Amino acid sequence: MRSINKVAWSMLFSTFLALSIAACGAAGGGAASNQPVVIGATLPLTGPLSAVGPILKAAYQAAVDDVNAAGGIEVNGTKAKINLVILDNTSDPNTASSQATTLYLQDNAVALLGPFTPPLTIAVSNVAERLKRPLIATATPVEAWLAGRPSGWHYSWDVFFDENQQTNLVFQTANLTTTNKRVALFTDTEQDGITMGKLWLQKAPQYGYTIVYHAVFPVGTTNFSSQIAAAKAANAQVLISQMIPPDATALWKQMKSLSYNPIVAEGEKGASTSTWPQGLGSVAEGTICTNFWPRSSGYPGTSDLVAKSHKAGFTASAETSGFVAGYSITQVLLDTIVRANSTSPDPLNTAIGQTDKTYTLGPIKFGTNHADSIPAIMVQWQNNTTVQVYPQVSGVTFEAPNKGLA
Amino acid sequence: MFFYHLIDGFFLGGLYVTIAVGLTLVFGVMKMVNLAQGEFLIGAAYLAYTVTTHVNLDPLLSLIIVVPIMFVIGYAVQRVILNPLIKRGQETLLVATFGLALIAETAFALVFGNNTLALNAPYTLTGITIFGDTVRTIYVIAFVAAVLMVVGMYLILTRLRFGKAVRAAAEDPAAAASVGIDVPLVYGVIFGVAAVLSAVGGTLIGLSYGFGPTSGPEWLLRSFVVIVLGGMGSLWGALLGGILIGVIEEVTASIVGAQFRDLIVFAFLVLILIIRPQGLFGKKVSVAK
Repeated sequence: MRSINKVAWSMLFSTFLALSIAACGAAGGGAASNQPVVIGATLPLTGPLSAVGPILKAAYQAAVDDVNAAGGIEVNGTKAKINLVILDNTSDPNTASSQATTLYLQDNAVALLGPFTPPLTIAVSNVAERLKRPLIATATPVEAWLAGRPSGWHYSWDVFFDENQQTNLVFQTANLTTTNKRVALFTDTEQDGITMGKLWLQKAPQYGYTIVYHAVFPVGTTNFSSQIAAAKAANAQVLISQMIPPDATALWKQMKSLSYNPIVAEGEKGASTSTWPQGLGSVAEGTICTNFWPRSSGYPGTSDLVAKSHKAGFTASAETSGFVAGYSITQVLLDTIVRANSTSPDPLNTAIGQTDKTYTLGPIKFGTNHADSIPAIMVQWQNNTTVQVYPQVSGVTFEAPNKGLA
Repeated sequence: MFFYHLIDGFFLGGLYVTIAVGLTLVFGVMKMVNLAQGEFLIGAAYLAYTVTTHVNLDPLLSLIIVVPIMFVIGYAVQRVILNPLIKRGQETLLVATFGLALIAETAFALVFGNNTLALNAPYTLTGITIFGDTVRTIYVIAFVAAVLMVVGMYLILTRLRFGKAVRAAAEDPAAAASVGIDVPLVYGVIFGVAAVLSAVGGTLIGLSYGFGPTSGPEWLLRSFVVIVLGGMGSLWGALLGGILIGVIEEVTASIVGAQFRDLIVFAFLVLILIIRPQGLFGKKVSVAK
């Protein structure tokens, strides 16, 4: 009886060991034999940030489709197709975090592509750090992302503009017209709202502006009557806001109805997609917001990606730039897998850090802080589309006072 | 300035009344909490959006079409889904309405997409000067609608023969049934009427702000605060609760900042519940009190 027990325990132990070894082998989703290489993304396809999630989804998928159509990528001498797994995090950081874990551990994703905006990207980046697997993100301003881990990121990478440029741009753009240089600042309590709020407060005096009113509020705020009354009473002719699209839409409508008509009005994040004029109609006219990737820069593949973005239904220039960023970081990841000739996390992570190539988005090369700050531009909604107003380009005039709120 | 914030909050409170009155009516009559209240509000906003898009009607005029549809939806939901579950107790009804909320949320996303939509009308972008303060026209409209809804429901419940049947069914369903009142029918009609009231509230939300498939829970929470503060099941309580919440929100945001708004609103709610657990207007749970 005793020996039967011993045999049974030995068999159980052997089975457990075999399963563990199999599981270890599966982790990291190797490209052994002709198995597809899995990459993943958790995106805000529903919820308050859903205006951007579908753009990144289409871009990631387009890049993967193009590579697969060309036969896939070669790793360890074997051609492998790419399997892109995308999950909807409903704009919730907790869901994003949980889904990132699932993608890495259950779907065996060798790396993830980022969601959007610091609250979601920081949540997913923390998972990447915990599991020591790579992540490349975009559409996430750099300073707020870096603030998410003061000790520094090791497996997470970000390609986007930084808030220093972003906060400078609004004052540089406002200088194109005449105002009393009194600013009302509206920032929400998310990480990018906090980071940018501080930067605007810090930079306003450098450009000769005074923040005469600063409203801080939680995401999901719908009523801004008292804040608008205060901004109006403070005689602020420049309005700067950093808030999610639904909240920004509510603010703009209420400013219009309460007859608060600043000469310059910036809707950071809120005004960055075509849902802005869809929700506001003519009231959207004249709003400025930061963007990136001026089409005129003419990096390789520009016309092809613009056509792909339009085909996917993203025609506003602010959306096309998001599409190009999403496509380009997918290319960075796939190029890295080929260059590393491995899907193991550490070689892949090291190879990402060595990226130095020009993509349609522009030259991509990461700094020691794991970020690549790309140039930002200021755009303005004019006739239902965005046009670059700073740095100034020929044939485009910055419209002031703000038409929509006048 | 403080006086202006009081005025703003007073009219904002009217909007809160319109979203909460359907919830309090259902609770007052059926003693059930409808966790799908937020989705009834947002569903009505989507309906109004559909009607205004296709028929080119003003969103408030679209209520002529939206109201009967919402009544039918409310009545059908109660008779087909909730009525058979009543005998299983409050917990089952709670779970059922929660399930309905999830189904509706998913359906909204599938049918209308995930982007934030808004109902547009000229009066959403204008203001009215009241005692020197500019108040959004839509808030004034909402306040008038709130008063009409509460007074109208009060008159229906106290003056009409049907109202008496409703009150009887609310007080003691078994006794009401024994004197020939068709209690399931009363419940169905009341749920339909609550859906109609929510149609007004939902349309006003769509006009005042924006809405998306996941907006429902936010408005459900606010409706709860209003009716718990005023007294669950009390129409007049909903009126007072809505106005109080509006005023507290506005004054709080102006004095200590909007980031503390929810903290102070909920702290006030807890304080009231400690002092007066039944809410400001609640004696016992009953309608038209």
